[in-house]
Amino acid sequence: MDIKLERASYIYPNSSINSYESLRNINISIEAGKWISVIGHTGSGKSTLMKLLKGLIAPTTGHLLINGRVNELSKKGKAQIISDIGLVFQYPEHQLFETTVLKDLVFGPKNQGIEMKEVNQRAKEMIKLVGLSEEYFQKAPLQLSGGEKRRVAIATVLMMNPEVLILDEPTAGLDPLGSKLILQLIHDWYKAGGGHRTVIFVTHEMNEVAEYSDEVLVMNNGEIAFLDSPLSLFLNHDYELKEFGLDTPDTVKLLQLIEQRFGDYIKVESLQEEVVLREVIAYFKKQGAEV
Amino acid sequence: MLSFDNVSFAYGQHLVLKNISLQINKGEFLAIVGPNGSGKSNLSKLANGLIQPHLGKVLVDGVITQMPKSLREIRRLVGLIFQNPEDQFITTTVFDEVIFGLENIGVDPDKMKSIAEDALKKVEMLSYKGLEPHKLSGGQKQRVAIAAILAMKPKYIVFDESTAMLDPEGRQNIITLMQQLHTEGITIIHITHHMEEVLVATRVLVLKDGLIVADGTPASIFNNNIESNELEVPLALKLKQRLRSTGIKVPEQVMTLEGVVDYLWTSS
Repeated sequence: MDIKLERASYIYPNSSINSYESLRNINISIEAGKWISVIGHTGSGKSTLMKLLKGLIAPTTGHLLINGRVNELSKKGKAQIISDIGLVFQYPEHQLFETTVLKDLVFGPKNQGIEMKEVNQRAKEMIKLVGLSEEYFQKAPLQLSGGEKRRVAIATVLMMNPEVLILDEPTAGLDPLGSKLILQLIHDWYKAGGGHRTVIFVTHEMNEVAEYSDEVLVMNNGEIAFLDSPLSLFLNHDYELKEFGLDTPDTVKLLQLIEQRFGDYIKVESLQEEVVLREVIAYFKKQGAEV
Repeated sequence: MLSFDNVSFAYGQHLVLKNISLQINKGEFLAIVGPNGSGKSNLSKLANGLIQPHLGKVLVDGVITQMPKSLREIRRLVGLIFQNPEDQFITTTVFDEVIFGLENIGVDPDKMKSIAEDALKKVEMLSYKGLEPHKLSGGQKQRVAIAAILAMKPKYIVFDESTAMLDPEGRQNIITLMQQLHTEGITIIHITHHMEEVLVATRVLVLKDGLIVADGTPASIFNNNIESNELEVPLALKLKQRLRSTGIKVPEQVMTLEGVVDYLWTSS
């Protein structure tokens, strides 16, 4: 699915005082198969943008286009929800409301009128995909740990078989290993789509951005400040990012420290930790050999 | 001194803290780390009598938290800052939020205004005093919550994942504030998942499954197989380990990327 916003803006009703989280003149085209990370200061409009892409709110001006077609408003002038886009809100576990995990999982597709045999089959696949087992089906969501709840909540969204998955800070509040696990699971789902699945990932964790993204979208004051590869963004625009109150990944800090001290810029293919560590170690080995 | 003597705490049948003994001395900057569910938050709530141990006792400057009579004073001495300050806001302006706590402990009304203003000034939020707390950014809200605590003149402040929901700038501001308060003599207890935040502490405690599995300086904690304690390994440490395995002996006490690069520079 290709998603496009053309000259889109969004102003919150009743927001007479501040323009907090509103959006101005957004032009963006998201092709199928990309992993896009979205970063920006709190209040920069990230969450509003996600709601706009999902069709939860309609742009005040401009258009949302899905596969080249304008997402028309309903007769009542409301936005139309894009069902092939799955949106995982912040703290998605707050949306688990059934008495068992299985009931929560089947709720969405069952309501869509999908055959129960198919729904149950999906539930089995999805619980496995998020690293849990069918033993969890009969547990109450309340009994689960924070990380488990989060995974079940993500599974309920995946149950709808979306082409695009939007995640708004999916790892907030989880410990580092729990975060890593969830990201790995999402990455597995993404890869399993064979280049047809899209992930739009809102985060404050720059190391996560460096590790996974094809492109990074930087929001600032309701506008798109940058859309670039992680490598080019963090190495060429670190100064601007700092101005926006944003950090850079640790790998970038390391490369820059070496450049400042040794005057050498170590060329890397990506900012992923393994890649950068490998190149840095190779560089110092060579340095050592010359001495 | 904050003292935990053989403390156990359970939710129903589930023991979340298992016979913990721990002394936190005045002037320490203690970081507590550990996976979700390790019992960290219960430790912070026990520290100011918000919850009571099922076995053992907790003492604040020698006063036991189980004594209903002393609870009010204990809650003044030990301030708690949570992950989401919004849950704690009850009034309609930033200023009233700070005043509220003072009214509760019966401060002389003539003095309240200047105490509240001083506290807001300290966290650089005085110019926001007439605003509604809900209109502020996450970091600003957190600073107001800290001002409300500071107005009570605490000796200890427990930050329970207070930086978890903030953006990097907001997080850095809070860390800087913690360091400032620490130099002013307040004992800081900081529960966090961010390993780089741990480096500013004077002591680190690692909790796992309700037990203290490590207790020491940041350097000693990071150099002793932190993977086995299910903690995140910072890039600086990974780099150091890789360098050491290729024969470049970066000293144990070097903890930051800057430190590693500086060492390589001076030794080359």
